Amino acid sequence: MEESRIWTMLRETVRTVVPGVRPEALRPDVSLADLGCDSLDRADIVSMLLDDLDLDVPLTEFRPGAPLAELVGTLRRHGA
Amino acid sequence: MTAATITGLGVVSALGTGLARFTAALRAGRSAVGPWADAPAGRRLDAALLPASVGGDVAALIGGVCPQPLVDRIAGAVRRAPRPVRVAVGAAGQAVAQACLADEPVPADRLGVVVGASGVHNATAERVRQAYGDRPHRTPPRTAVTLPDTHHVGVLSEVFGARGEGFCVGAASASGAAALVQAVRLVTVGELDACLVTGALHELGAWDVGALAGLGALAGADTGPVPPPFHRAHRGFVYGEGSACVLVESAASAARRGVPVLARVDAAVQRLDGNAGADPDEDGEVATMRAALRRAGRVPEEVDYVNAHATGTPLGDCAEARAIVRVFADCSRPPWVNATKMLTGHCLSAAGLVEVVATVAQLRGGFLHPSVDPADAVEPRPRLVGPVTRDVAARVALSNSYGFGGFSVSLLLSLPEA
Repeated sequence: MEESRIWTMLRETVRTVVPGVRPEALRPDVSLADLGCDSLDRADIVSMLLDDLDLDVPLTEFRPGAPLAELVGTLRRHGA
Repeated sequence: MTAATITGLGVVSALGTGLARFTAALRAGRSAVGPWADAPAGRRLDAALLPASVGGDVAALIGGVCPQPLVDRIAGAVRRAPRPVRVAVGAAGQAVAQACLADEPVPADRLGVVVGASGVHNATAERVRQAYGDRPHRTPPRTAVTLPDTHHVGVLSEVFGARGEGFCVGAASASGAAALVQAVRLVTVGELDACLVTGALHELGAWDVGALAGLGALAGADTGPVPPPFHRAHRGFVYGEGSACVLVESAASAARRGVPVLARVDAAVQRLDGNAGADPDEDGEVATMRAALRRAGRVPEEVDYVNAHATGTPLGDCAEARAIVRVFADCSRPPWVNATKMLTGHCLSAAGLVEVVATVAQLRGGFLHPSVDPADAVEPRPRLVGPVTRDVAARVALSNSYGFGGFSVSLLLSLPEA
């Protein structure tokens, strides 16, 4: 899948979970925590992305506090 | 020790959402019980269910009674909470509005939250297991927080800004009433000024239904409609969906805030029967009712009305009927008796608080809702209201709740002096 497509899915998922976040705030160098997501929001976002991408990856693979570029990279490494 | 009062009531029930609609349905003697389409475990059952839309939109549960800023804040905060929690927040929002708690707040660290809940998310747990049983490492992490009963406490405290003491009380079908007992204790010893006490919507899963039906507690509807509580042909209870909230407040705090007292809690007593099973204990029920009377400093003659636990199970109905007859044996005019579960179904964890709302609604409304026809009732039978609503100026009421495992609660409620 093209990386831009994953970024689009990430933006949509973040908007669903934390509606207050502006789309342009989702830059590669910021983390979900930087965007104001608490630990449950972060876990929900990753969990929903894995479902949407039909990937079976343990949530423990995703480093808390990682910048979004790393999050997208981890998804791609597992086949997205 | 200070007196405990009730300054706010909220209810989301199959009979109606909001105190006004709920009270009107009680007065009309309307039953919300009907066939349960697609009941779990492939059974033919009756139930009193909330419309499927209820709980989808919390604003619909509190709109019209809550100030708009509070409605908006609540709707945002609970957007992704499970349905039982959204429904509980709806009931609590009604009680908060009636008690003017948003406009005239009590100090945050003097406001508590006590929730009656005893495994209310079993149905959700079943769905999670079905979806993730073969890949537990992908279980939605949120369930670590949302599946335990305590999620109700967290959400209610966040939404209504409570920073005092709070917890869940589990006492099976007596959970709601037992939660009120603890809240009254916290208020009367001066630990809190006010406490939001909610009974959680108790969703039944297929396993719950299978077990309760197998035990003979949950009535099947294969042979026609299920007879109401205290009917001599009773064969089990009918499930009801519902949640209720009672704002318990010290008399001093209510006076300070200038809000009307809806009812007083003269006594709230809980006892154990020393019985791990499901069978009722008549002697324990008698002892609990007498303890409530004693603590309230009242004699049996003063009680005008008993809101019975009566679920419709043969053992439970007969034990409670005998217990009530014994407690009031020497009264020249024993109290009237009815069973709200005839109209609402058995709301399990929430039942005790739904029935506190029903009791106060009847005292304040000057009526008592119908019961089974005495001609069809168990023997010995207490003084049943009968098939038609009675206009009765009752002032003092006893409300009973019992639960599997020997939990027994009696609450003595009264109207404040005029």
